[in-house]
Amino acid sequence: MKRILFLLAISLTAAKAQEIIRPALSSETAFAIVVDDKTYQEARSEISAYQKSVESDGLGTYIIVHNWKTPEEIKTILHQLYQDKKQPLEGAVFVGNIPIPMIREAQVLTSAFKMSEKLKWENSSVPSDRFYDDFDLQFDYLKQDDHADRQLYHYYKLRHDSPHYIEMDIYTGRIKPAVSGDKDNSVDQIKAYLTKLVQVRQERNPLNQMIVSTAHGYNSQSTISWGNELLAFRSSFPGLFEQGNSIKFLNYRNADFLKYNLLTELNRPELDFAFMTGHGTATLQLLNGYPDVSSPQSSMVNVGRYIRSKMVAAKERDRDLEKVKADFQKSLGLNDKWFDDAFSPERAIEDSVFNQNMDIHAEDLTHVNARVVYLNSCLTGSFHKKDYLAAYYPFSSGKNVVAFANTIGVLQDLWGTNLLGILQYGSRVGHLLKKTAFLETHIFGDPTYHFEAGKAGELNQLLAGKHAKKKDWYNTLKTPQADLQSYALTELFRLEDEKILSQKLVEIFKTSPFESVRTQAYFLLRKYDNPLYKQVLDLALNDNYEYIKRKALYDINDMGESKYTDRIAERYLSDQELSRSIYRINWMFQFFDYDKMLGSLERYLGDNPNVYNASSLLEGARKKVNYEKTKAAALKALLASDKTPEKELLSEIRSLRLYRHHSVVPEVLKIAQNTNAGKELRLTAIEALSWFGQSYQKPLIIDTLRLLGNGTDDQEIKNQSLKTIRSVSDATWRQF
Amino acid sequence: MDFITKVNKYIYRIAALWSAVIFFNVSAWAQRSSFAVVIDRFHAGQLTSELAAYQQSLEKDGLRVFLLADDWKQPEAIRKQLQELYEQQKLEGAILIGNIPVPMIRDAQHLTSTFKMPQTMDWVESSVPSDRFYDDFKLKFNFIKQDEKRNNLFYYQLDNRSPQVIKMDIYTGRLKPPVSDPAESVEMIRAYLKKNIAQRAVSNPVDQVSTYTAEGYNSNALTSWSTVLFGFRNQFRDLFNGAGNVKFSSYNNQDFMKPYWMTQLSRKDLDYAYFNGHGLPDYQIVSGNPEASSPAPSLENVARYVRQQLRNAQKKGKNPEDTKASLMTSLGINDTFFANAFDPQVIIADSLYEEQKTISIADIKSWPVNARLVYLDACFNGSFQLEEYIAGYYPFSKGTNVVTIANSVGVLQDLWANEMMGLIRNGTRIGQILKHSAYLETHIFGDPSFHFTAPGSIGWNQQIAHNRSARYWKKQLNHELPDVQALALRKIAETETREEAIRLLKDFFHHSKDEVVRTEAYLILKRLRPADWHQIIIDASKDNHEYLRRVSVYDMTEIGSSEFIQPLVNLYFNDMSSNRTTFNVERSLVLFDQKEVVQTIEKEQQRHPLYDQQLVARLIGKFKNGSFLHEYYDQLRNKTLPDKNLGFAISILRAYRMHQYVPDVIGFIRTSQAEEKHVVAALEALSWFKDSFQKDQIIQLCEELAGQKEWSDDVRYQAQRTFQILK
Repeated sequence: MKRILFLLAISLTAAKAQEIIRPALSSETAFAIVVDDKTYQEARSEISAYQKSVESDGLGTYIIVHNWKTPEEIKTILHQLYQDKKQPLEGAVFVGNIPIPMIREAQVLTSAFKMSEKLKWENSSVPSDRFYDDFDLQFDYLKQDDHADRQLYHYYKLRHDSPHYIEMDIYTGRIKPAVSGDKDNSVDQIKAYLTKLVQVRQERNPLNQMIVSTAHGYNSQSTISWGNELLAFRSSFPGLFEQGNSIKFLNYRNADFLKYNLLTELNRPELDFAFMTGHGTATLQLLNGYPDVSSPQSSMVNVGRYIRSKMVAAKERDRDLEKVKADFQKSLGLNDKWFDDAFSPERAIEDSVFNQNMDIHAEDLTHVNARVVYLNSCLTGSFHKKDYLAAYYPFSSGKNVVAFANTIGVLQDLWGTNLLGILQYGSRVGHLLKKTAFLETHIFGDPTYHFEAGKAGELNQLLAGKHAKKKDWYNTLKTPQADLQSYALTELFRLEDEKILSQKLVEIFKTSPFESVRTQAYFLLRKYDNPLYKQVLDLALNDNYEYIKRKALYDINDMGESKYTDRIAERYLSDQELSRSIYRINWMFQFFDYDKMLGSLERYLGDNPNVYNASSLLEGARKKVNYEKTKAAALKALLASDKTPEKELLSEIRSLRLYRHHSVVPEVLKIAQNTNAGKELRLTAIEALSWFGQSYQKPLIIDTLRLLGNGTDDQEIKNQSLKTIRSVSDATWRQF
Repeated sequence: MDFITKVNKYIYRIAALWSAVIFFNVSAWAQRSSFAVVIDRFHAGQLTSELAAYQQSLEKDGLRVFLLADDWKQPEAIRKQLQELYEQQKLEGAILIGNIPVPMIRDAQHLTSTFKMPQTMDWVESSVPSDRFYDDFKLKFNFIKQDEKRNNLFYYQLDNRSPQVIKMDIYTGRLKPPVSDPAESVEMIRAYLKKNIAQRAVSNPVDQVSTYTAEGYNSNALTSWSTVLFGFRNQFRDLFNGAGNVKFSSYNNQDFMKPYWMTQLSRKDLDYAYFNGHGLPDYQIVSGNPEASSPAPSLENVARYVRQQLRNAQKKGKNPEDTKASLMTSLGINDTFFANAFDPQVIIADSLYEEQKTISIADIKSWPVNARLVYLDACFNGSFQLEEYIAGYYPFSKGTNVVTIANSVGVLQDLWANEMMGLIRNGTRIGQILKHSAYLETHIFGDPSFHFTAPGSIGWNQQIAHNRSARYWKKQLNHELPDVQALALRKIAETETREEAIRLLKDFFHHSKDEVVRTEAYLILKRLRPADWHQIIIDASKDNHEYLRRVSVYDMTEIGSSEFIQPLVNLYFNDMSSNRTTFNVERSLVLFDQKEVVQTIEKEQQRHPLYDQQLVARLIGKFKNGSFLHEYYDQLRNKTLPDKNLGFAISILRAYRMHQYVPDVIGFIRTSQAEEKHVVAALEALSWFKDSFQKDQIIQLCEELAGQKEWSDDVRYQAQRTFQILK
């Protein structure tokens, strides 16, 4: 078929217009490969082959080439194509040097990121393609980074009148290799990736081999959280548990070095999907800590390693080594044994190898065969940097073609398994991203990739389709597949009347055997934030799925209403095995009406003859609550006092973004209203309140800030007030 | 003479009313299943009204009741009456109340899950207290003697002509207070019967389940623990979504989980509490020392250890200074660690610390165990031959516990304790579950006829007890409860043609979506041994359910032919996240041809370049270097094995199937100039090779020996016994 080539003039730039190669295939929806000029020139045939491959899979594909100067250029085209009536865009991939939107003043759209934006912009902004794939979000352009290495960075801030939640219109992916040395071989890497991609896409490979790995230090290392995740996988991937297929669960507790097993699995030619949870940095996946042991010899080996690391550090800092040694010997009760070889080269190598083996490094990822990997960890997807770990997966010589990863830090308690199951039914990976992404969540590789499944074509049309009706989703809800049901609920949420769907969701929450479906019902009711949600919240605290319980505690924490103190005490008494919930409850002791909390604890634990350690549990909680009570009173006084230095006020107010002291909201509002206070202080106060969207203080926040916004001529105060109102109003539309 | 009279002869008439009830029962309910209450005369006399009320409760629950009260002198009398009731009165189970003789079984260790104590040791410890004597009528026993000191213990030998597998005809439960004072015993039983009757009267469907996995079990393998999760998920599916709760917990949730688990046990709403861990007759191990990697808690562990070492040294009369010096050298610590080892307050603190790690008899004695059903999946907790045993305190606690399952001797870690436990969901009597899953050591303490509330449970229990229609059980294969399917498979294997049963079992083994059903199908196939049994084992070694992989390793090890080397090595490389499986694989490979093992590992090593090479090198080294065991058998073959090592070389075969050396052991027996006791021991050791690929050779040997007069009676008896077990 003859390709139509045309030039589209964009008013934003007077430079050469974009080259757009239209799809050869007329399909219900379309996909776009967005590439920079230079890369395109060098990888034209590979890109063309990729286009053909996607089209042969039933998805018409554009190639859009340009010497891109700003993100807006791209967004404008994508938006236009998305609005195309005949063949609307469903997704895009960014190949090569594509401008990177660095988003500011939008931390509520991330799962956990709260870095002070006073810090360097390249660190405190969030690299995010949500700029490109959620057309409703509104941004103000701030600037392009002026550093030579950061020319692609374009800083934006989320506008006060933008929605403050993410609802992606299309999905996106990035094909951007990591460059570790001086030599930039990106284009070669891209060519190799695309060549491999086209081959892998031809495999028609079903998802029937999977691994799930869990590294150390996550979610309070709770084995029960882990076990519940296994059960959720059991519901969402039932076929993998049958003979002939496989799903393996790797855990850092399996071995001193999980790495060997994990890499062996990732390299396994038949492995389809690897879901990996653990801490991460831009260049590392952290897997193990020092081994957890209890026997004397092994314990001392850990102590020895610790001592050597301290001695080496002391030497590097030129400290008095004899004194350091004497101090350690005294404080830890050690003789010379663990110090003798602290500086021996053999020992240094041994320790270095040991440390190296605790993590996955870029050089370990030369041949990853798992077709799709999900890095549920911080920072590994920091694609704004030249070198970032996630890139090593798709750009390895193995068959990996897709890596999900995060550009910044992420929340440990997020619902990482949300909708994962749709992949086994042949959903394009992009559809998964589209429904689940935070500001930081990204796909590296081809977002149109999907596993083979009998009805993959139909499914992808349904998922992408603009024409799907309520009836289609109600039908999907009747299928026995957990995550297809879960997906259908998210679509019904868009199409169905709240009254009808809320009732349905409650029923589903009460009866569905599937963890993922119940969790989805919970989150959707939470979006409605209506009385039925409150009803389900109560049930959620006693749900059998640990994650739902944990999330309900989270939400109650963010509400802060003292009517929940009995329920919190009840969970504290009953769920001592759930380390992560107990961690959360201890956290919650900071924020609830202290006297009521003490009363509830007393009611549940005082003289309870059926609780073996009632008195010590009660005593521990009481001590904690009393301590917090004193601390909170001091905080309230400090915020109310006009003598508190501004610096201290700023610091305390900023900490409220994480520490939800609902009771001090009135004091913070007073500061916000105080025209005699410094501007920065007032803005900080108004911004901090944007994190109290579920709080029982929400009406007070909205009313006060509305008055403030309307009554001021100060544009910054006005905008921040409106922004906070928006953020607070949209709170339950964000999962966290 | 009609049957009634014959039966009534055995019945202790407590009151006219009682006998009238029995008579009425027999005539009106002749088709109903029956249940026997076996009790000693003393207790019966003291508990007249409670027994009558218990009887009514049982009857209301669809059981005809026979009261067998007597001054029981020997177990045989009880067995005989139970068997008659079974044969003539549709007896389905019995409860043994009070002072009922305890059969102590010998020469039957292969009927236990793992117990292998040398029978030369103290008989109270080296015999297996077992009510299989009372509930499996096909087993044949020879009476040996009554214990001289503990006169309720009766020793029996499993006859060499007896079936060598357990297939219970009825189920039993024990109600034996762990006390010696008769008055106290009466009061404990009285209180139990009262609460049991009360519990039986209330409507209580299973909706609250709680499980605990203690430290040190199954290599502390998380993947093994996950099979508990998946198993319960199958068995109690609907409790996971609002209808109830299934709680999982384990030793690694907190440093000390005893308070948590004690609290669980006393939950008033708890129906089933499953505890898995190590145990002894008087306590359960809950936690180990806290695991840590940072210096402070690591050193606390070390400090407690060295203090204890120092105290032990003193107790043993050693010079504590020597111990101290040695510990300082080996651990690299200074003397601050030892300063307070003998400080009385520190000693008390250390002892209190230790108490946090276990649940003792004292703990349970004063604690309300409210979980209606408790399973102590641990060694020795149910050692009811002893006066005091911890399981005994559960049903007699002041809480609402009515049934506790426990083991009278040590048990295998890798056994599947929860086999068919999901049947409690539809009101199956606990005894019926025992009947389908018990080893020689598995026992119910409390009322075995107890069941949770479920619609139609009376009829259902009747079906389990007596329905032998293959057609009926085939229909149950579509039942929504996986464990009903599992039970149906078991019944089909008993009632269908072998061919059809195997067809169905293979279908379920390969295609069932439920892990517990696949596992049950596998275990039944193991008994039926279809022609492609070896391939089925290999398929199981690739199943996603870790437990199946684990048992497949056992089965490959038991057979020992070299066709299994590759699958075992595959497991080693592909299943590293299943620590227990790889642990078992390592132990297993020692028993195969070492040369072939090494070659296979080296080949796989090349295919797994990213695998932990040090680990593989260590493994290969282990097989290349060989162990002293291989040396022993080489010496046995060459007749150079020193006499002092002979006993060990033979007895080790009971635990380690060194299949490759079976011909050498046979050669040794045939040409032995050694003492007869070694020949008998060697023949006994070969009785553990019932699945071995060398089995035919052993059978041939036994047949020969049994028929040759020149061998002594002892040798011929053992040859016959080994033959019987292996055939």
